Amino acid sequence: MESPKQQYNQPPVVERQPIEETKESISYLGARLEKAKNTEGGFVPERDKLESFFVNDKYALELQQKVAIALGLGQNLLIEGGTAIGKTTTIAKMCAELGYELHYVNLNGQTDVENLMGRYIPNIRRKKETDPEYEFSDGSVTKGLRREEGKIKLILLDEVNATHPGTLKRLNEVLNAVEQGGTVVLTEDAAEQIQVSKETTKVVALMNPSGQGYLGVNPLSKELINRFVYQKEANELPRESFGFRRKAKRGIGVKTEKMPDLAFIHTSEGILSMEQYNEIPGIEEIEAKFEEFHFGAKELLKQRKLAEDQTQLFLYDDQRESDRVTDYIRHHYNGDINDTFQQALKYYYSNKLETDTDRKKLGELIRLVEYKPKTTESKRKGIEREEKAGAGTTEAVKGVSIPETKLEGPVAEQIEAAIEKLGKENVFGPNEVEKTFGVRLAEVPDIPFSVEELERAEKMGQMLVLRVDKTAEGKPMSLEAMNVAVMERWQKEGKGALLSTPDGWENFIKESYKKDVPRSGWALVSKEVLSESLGKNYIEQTDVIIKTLKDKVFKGMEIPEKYAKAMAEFESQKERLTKLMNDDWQEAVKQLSALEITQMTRQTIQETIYDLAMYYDTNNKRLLTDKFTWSASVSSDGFLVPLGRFDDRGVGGGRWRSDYRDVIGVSFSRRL
Amino acid sequence: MENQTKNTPISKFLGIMTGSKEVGLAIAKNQTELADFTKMSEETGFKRLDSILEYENQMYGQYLVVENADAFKSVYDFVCQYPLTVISLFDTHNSKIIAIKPDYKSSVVIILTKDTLKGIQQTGFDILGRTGLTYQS
Repeated sequence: MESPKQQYNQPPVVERQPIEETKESISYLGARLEKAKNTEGGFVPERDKLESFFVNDKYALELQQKVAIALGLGQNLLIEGGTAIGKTTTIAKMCAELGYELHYVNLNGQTDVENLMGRYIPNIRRKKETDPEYEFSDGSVTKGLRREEGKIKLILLDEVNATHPGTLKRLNEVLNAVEQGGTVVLTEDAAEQIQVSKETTKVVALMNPSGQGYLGVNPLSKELINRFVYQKEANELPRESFGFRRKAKRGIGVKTEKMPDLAFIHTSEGILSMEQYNEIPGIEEIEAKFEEFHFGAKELLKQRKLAEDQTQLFLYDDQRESDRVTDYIRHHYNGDINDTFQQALKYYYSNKLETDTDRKKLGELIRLVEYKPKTTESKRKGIEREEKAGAGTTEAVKGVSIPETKLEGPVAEQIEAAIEKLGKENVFGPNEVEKTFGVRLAEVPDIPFSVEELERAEKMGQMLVLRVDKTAEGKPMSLEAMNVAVMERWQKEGKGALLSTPDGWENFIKESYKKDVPRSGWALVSKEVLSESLGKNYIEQTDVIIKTLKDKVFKGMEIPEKYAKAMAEFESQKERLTKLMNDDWQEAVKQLSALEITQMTRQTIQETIYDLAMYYDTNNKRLLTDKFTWSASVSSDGFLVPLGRFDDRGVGGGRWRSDYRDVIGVSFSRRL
Repeated sequence: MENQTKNTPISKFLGIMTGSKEVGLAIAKNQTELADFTKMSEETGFKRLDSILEYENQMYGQYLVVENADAFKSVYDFVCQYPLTVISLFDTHNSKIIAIKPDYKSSVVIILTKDTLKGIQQTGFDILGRTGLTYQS
């Protein structure tokens, strides 16, 4: 058992490792690759030997992520960088971990086409006249292209810019075939052909920078470069990496560097269909901005305002870059189209550039590729915007047509006003309840917040949620019930899960899993945690909440008596609770949870899950993707529960550890 | 007094090569010194390889004398792949590509003269950039 103070201050165990491994896959900073099922045959590098000296510092981890992205998308990858950065070893190490066969080909000037593509040789097994006199013997590339049950093969083309033009021409054909899943003809008479698949053959090319003193190295043609996802790496290892690796090798430092949440990307369980892609909110706007960006970047490159001093020329190709970006979004969409799109553009556009100045210049253009939801567009009736609401209900999934909920009277007007103030994507009324949880309300309570309060809520980045405590069948709207309500449909729609391991949640909160429900009624909820609340303990967070109430929510207004009392209660007990945290943390947890201010301004577990589900289901965008909000609820083993890191595996939660304090904040929530 | 001005003997270099994850390189000034190096390698217990395909695990050490740039490709391929824990080579006897897995318990050293090295570098093989510890007297 850790000391009470450590336990009290520590963030969730759902901490993210830079390299996460399961039985079937490995994720490199979130870029997931499936492992090979068949590792026999002797061509898979040896993991223990490579890992014994490999250090996963920031630079190495980012390089592995870049490799994993291209391999996962079946895109041919080309890395240009100095010998010291460990390109080859990185590829070998990843092959070893993933069980991929490594087929190494060095393309220095002495390599001929036959070395790569095979040749006919005298048949030494020939015993009788009818046996063929010659047989085909594979080259390194053809061996890597041949498909074998359960195997994944990686062809590593080293020193690709040191080879003969004739060899490159032949390689071009191979790259084409891998990219498009075609056939490679091995002999002039087409007697030998190989059907190629990008799922089972991966191609990575490496080269040293031309014009940097490397032997026999020449720039490649722009056209050949463009057949690859070209990543321009450093010529020398960054100084921080040198220090980190030295420490690790001396045994006085860790072998894997901790990485901030922003370094991770998301890989979906399944690829988005084009229909789903086209339904991403804001996709039309962002596509238009992408087009503008692409031609802007092309023009800068053409005028040599980018990559001015780079000897290796490259293109921003209309077709290829466009396809690659789309593939990236379909595999790595994290619920935030701006973030995902910008990741893709950095990967395919910025990473071709050598200097920080160029990357910064292009980065400014990339930031403009964003979708801004229109917050004041609605002059429409509240109920009109619910035209498609029935499409996602449980009944709709079952193919049963149901009439829409009709709103009339003051509530409809209040909802309309709320939409005016907060934007339609931030108001979750009866129709959203019905869409997400299949509950049709006979009566809708009035919205208890004034117009001024809604205006302030908009400035604070809040949403308005109508919570219900019963399912369509009249049962408690527990975590279990919410999960059941959305699970089947979300799976069908490729939306991932609501709860990160429902069993884990049940085990974590025991009977509360099936019993406890959200408090019904309207609530204003911060979509993301209050930034000032990050990296603070529960009491310090409560201070932030009170400051928010005073300085933002009720600024210039009389603080309602209920809130004033709750604040006074906390202030009067703060010192004692701080001491209690050290003396008896479990008792402190109970008392903190029971405080009026906690109950009035923090979500419970059930409310957090409910709110996150509503927002995601309606907007197709997840909240709290890389943060946790500390709830008012206590787990069965006595911890105040933080929830968050919502990805396609669902919402996670748990206890805490001191080195991850920076990811826990609080989503300010209030009800009346 | 002559001994006092001599550099580290090659035997010492061969000794510290044990367990290295990269192929070593010993550069002789001329043919005479190359003969000295090979003799010393034999005396230190290193086994001479006439072809890289003769490489075996579980030996104390192995060396290969490279006399010219011709047919250097297979050696270069071996050197480049040696740290990767799996080496693909074309087995000329069986006419197929085979995989070799070095155990790094022994060491491998390439011995050549300065002139041969120069010729190799000129043909585009960056052997100095690919080998690990390098020795010259």
